Amino acid sequence: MNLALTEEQDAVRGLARQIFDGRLTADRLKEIAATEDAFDRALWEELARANLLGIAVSEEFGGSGHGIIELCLLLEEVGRAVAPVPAFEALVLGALPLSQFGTPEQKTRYLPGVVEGKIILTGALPEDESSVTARRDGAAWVLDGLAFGVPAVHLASAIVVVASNALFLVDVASVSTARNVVTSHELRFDVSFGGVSAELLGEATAIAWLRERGLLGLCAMQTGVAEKALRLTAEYTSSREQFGRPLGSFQAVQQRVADCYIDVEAMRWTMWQAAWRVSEGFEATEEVLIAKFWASEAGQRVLSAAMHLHGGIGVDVSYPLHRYTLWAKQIELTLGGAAAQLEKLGDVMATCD
Amino acid sequence: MDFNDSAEEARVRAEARAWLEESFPVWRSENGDPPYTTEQARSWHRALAAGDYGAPHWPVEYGGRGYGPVESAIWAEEKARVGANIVFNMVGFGMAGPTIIAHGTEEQKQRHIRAMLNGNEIWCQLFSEPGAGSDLASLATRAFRDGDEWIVNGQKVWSSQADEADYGILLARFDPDKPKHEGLAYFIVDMHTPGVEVRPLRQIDGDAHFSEVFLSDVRVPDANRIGEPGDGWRVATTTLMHERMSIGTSTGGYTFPFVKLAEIARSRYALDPVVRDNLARVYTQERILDFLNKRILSKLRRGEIPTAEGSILKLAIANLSSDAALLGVHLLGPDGALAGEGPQQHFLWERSLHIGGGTDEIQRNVIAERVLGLPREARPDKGLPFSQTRTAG
Repeated sequence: MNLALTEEQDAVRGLARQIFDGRLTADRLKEIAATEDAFDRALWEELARANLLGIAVSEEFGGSGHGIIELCLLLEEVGRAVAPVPAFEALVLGALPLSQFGTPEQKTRYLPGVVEGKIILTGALPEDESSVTARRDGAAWVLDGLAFGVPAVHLASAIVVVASNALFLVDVASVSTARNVVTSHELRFDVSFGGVSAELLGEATAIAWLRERGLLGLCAMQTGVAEKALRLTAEYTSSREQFGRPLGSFQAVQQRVADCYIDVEAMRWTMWQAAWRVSEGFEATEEVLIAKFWASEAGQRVLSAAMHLHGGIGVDVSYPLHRYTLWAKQIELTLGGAAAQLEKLGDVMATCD
Repeated sequence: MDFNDSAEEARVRAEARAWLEESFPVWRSENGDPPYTTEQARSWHRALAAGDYGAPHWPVEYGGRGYGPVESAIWAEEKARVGANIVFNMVGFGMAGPTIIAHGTEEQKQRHIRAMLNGNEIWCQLFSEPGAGSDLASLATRAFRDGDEWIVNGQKVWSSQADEADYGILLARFDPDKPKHEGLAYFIVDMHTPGVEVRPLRQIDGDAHFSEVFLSDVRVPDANRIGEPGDGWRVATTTLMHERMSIGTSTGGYTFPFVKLAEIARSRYALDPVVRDNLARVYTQERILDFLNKRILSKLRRGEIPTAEGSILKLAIANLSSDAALLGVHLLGPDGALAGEGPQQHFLWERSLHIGGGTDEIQRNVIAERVLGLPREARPDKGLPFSQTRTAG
């Protein structure tokens, strides 16, 4: 048993952190948030140059051929920086199922572009049942129906879609979209598949495969979000003085910050346990549910405490904390919040010993 | 990152499992099901000692196997697996023994280490006092030097198993004019010495695990002192570190087992979604404890010192034990009000886990100040001679 990161994994984390810390100043985040796309393309290109976009793509297509653990390390840093880039969408929802289930032709069509930062992918992965249906038309497949709240469609070339009980690949140019803004000021799209043609990627097991990794990716980002919010809170309460001493020297403050730390550690270790099992190819249903339960519930608890301990400045958009709060809520609600995970975990426990 | 046993860890596990599967059923057939008396626990300990498993975490030269933290945890897991995790002389093996090995004189080691290993001595801890709980260094029990002896007067409390103990490890103040941490000395006390009076404390769960210990003109030979007179706190730190470790590697016994909780839920509520939610919530806590343990062990194995993990682990154990016990009582419905061995017993016991070994609040302060770097709260007695502090006044 050794839970330390390998030197290479450490290097991945260090490299990602260095890039995000170097580029994403508070001003830069504000500037990007004010743009139409809310996408930091220059940052995306830098991630590509560092070969971080290819972290979990095989070397055959220009990636570095690492696995889910390295990808989670990257996503943790994305969360820590609240980075306005579609890493989760392109690398988890898009590139992972393509790598696993795609034909050589499909992989060649998309993966090198993903690694180079020139092609962005996304996914329409519902929490439970999909409202998109698939039917055969001769040798081809045709999709109908609506997918709600799909991220990064405005940036993407192709969407991985759950339809009926299988996984498909659809060209973005063929669908029509309606644009919504979510509370984190990011864009989500309702995507209408009015009889568009689609390529089959995998059967029902592929959906479960992808959902497991999707949940894991969200947990990794949430760990980064909560960890950074906690650090900001520790710094703030250590420097702000009231009654002639730092706020952080009051036990009422210390106790609450300590509880946040425990929550963050619980999030971190449930996530790594699940990630490790997935990377080893072990059954991980239960571990993933536990991780997302903690990411959702504890993430919310940490951000509420962080906001509270910051006093008024927590809600001021000129201070970075509000972005963490908004991200945490989005991540919590994506693919099912705490109650949904508990319910599924209850199902698992009821059916086995 | 690897959560599996290494080859060496797998070997330790296989060896432990083989030995336990051969030895424990024999003992069990003669002794039946728990709970066990102290004498039964002693006899199982002697069986362990005969198999060189008496104190496997001690160095080889003192009769141990030199197990590191990971091997010790594996051993604890394997014992728990067959139900052989029977506590005997926990203070001796977990705290007093390691402290004597680290700081004791050769004569002290000769006198006590082998005797403990053979199951001939039970130990208790004489640290906490009515006026010194979380702030242990404020303790007021006095030790006066008198030739080759010390004369000790004071009152100790919350001493586990003191009513059965042969020896105690004692922290006492020899110089009240030094700041509180610097005026302490550490002694071995023969519990049968005149002037030692033990009064068991009856707890809410009906058991008398702890005692008050009154020390009136108790004569302790200077040869029983561990470390220099001013080193008492430093030596005690070793003891307390081992205490936290021994709590960490024996988590099993503290919590009402999840499997039993699930059994109660299944038999009474079938598929009730609210019950299932509550059960699932407790289950996630139990798993986190497991991950935390692994993380601590992994750090120790790499030679790193876990800082906050011990505090988190202790909080996590206390919370899980409370939540599991409360849920169990709740699931039993009206039967939960009946006195019994089930979750009711745990419900009556779990409060003590939030207090002993450093309260929840102390653990959180440790995390806030030492890990997150929050400013320390003002300590009005810092650097003051003990005699000028409010505690002494």
